[in-house]
Amino acid sequence: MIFPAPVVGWLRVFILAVGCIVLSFAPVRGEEPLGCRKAEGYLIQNYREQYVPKDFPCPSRWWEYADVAALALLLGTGTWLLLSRRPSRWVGVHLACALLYFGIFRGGCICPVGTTANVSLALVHPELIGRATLALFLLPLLAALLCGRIFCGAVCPLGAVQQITAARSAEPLPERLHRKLLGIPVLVLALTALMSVWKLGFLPCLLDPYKPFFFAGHALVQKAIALAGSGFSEPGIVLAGSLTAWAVFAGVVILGRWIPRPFCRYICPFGVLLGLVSRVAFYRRRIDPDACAACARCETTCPVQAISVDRTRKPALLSLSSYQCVQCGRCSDGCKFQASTVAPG
Amino acid sequence: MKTRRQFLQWTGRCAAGCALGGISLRVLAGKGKGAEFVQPPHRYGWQIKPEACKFCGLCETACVRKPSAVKAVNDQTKCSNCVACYGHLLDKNTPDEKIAITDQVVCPRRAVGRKPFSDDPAGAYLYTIDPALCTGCARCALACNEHGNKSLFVLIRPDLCLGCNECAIARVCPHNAVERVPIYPVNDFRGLYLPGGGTVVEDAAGS
Repeated sequence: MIFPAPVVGWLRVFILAVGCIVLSFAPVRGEEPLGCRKAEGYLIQNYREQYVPKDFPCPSRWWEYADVAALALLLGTGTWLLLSRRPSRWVGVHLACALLYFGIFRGGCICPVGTTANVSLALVHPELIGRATLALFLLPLLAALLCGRIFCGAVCPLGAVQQITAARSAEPLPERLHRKLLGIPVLVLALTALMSVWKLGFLPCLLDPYKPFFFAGHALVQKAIALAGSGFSEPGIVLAGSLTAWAVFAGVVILGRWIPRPFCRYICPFGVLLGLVSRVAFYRRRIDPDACAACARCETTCPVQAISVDRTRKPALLSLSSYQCVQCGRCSDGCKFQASTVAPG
Repeated sequence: MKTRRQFLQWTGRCAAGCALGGISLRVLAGKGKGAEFVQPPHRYGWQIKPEACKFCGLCETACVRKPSAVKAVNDQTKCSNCVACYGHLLDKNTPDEKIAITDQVVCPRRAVGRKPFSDDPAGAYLYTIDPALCTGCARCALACNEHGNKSLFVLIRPDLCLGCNECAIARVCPHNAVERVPIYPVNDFRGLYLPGGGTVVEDAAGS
């Protein structure tokens, strides 16, 4: 490579940005204007009677099956990465792929986080949700029952944005504050359920800070598809979300640099359900006290502060909370003694 | 200790399994009170109820998509093909020869197009809205519905709709005109959107 690594990194960002802008301004075939019949004796009345209404197509329903299949596939590959003890880099790449598909390509609005609201609504009005939504809700929970919050660590597009933007060496929050903040997701989950049942709206959709990013990506993809094939797309910049939404997005991303995964840990209502199921998972990550040398390196490596050290005991005892662990695998990366492993039981 | 922990774990697993199974059973087999239809196997989208819409124009700014997924369309079967259209011109008394060149038009983006149907200048004219220019402000539809034949209306185009879980337009719509419907293609008739698929064209004479 001729260029040093940071230059290559910035070049990539630059090329991506230019690509997006070019795509925004690319001309798109409009719909053909209404044809006028000028044949002799052809009356406007006949035109009206023979007028064929133009259909505005909706996305094929196969996309929903594809989404469920993609989620199942990604959960499967994620589980495989976890159980075959691949380094966390692999999980990161996996997460980036999930971000590309669910976040950018599909617009992020088929996310299981939002299904908490849909499924709460369905408990009262089952006819109001589709089966695809139910599948999106159940699959991550079933995966969590098998081997913990693999969805959060390897599949969730919301988690992906946070993981990518977080600094590797972020300082953990003070323990007491962290403990208190952990109560918020439970509150959010309860409020989500109540608000859906009372038909006051879908709380996760209001709280999701990454929506403008996902929607803008999705709109650009739609436009690229319209350019390549047939179909209508508007010329000019297709943007999504208001200025406020973008400001919140920027704020969360900047804050997320120092507080890794802020949404996952302190807001996400689906995380509560996943965490609860993970506590009784068949395969769980734990720190083997026999192998552990109590260096407590993993305590600072863990992005979600799932590892706590009991320093009153000699040697210090490390414990890992399955409720909080998102199975990113960074603790086992840094461990010289392979003490952090995923084991049955 | 070992056995007690294992017992608790298996209890937890059974409880989780039962909860998940119960939820699926409720959703797949249950029927809500006063359910008008059975659930479709697929997702929901959003659509504007034509009878409830008052053309306030909030759709233009509320939609998460910019420009909005809401577009005005003209129901050609109801349009009376006037020489001067309320949805097109601000001043209906504009002289014929000036209609083509006037800038006193309703649409701020000049999306409403006017084409002669025949060579006779006093004859019928066809009106369409260029979706590439329309931003869904509904000014044309408002004028047509106040003074004209109520043929212009706005709809959420399912091909442009990003399919939010909760529609940003529905959240602000003062007339509760945006409703959650199973996502189906819509056409440029002013139709009623039915979950059974397709649309039912309103009886033009009846309304």
